[in-house]
Amino acid sequence: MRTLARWIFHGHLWVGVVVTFLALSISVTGILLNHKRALGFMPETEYSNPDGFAASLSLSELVERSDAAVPAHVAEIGVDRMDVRPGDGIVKVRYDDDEVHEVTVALADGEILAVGLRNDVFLEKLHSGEIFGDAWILLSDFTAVALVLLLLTGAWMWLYPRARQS
Amino acid sequence: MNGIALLAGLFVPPVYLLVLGHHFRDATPRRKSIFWGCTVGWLTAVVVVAVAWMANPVLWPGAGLRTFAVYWGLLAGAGVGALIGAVRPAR
Repeated sequence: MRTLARWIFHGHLWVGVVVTFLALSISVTGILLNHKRALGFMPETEYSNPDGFAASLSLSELVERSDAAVPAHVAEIGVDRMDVRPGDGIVKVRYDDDEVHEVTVALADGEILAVGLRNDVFLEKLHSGEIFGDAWILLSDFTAVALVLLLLTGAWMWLYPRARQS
Repeated sequence: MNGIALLAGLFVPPVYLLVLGHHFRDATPRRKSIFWGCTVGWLTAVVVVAVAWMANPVLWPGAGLRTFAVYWGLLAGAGVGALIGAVRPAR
């Protein structure tokens, strides 16, 4: 019992110290992502035109309008994805550049409603570790497993506080 | 190289500190000084690197101070701290 208690105590200590920075980083980016709208990490618009979807311009026309609203080097890199919101009559055109530009365009007439950076995409990639490369998501997995171990060992030490001395 | 520096900064200083902290009461004054220097250096670097990662929230450029802080900050902070601890006269 005493040997097990020592292993659990030292496991808790070592795992806790080793994942300090990763746990801190994942926690802070998680909090920032939860409040991404309030913190202004994505372009927003109040525009709403539910009838706009039926009268929508073609996708290529919408991209043309959007291309004109971003710097030339961003338009040249190209569109990563288009997020259509039929209920609001808008499309969000996201570019594949490092800063992740996004243009919100009205479906019906191609009016540019908002242009800005999707900072939350950067934070999401930092949260998962993907920002450093695809293999780095394993660090995120490692941290998650480490946190589970910390919970289990912490609970055990709380339940049997005197086991190490006995 | 940057990736290796980041991985080393994440894991080597904490493990080194745990090893240094083993039987700390019996450690020599110089070893204690290195321990505290490395601890303060690494913890300071943790704050600096966390800020460098997230402010502002766009991808850091290929080179420059921010990129250096992102990849090398943890290792540099721990190293400088340990060095200061090592050269500081033991009390």
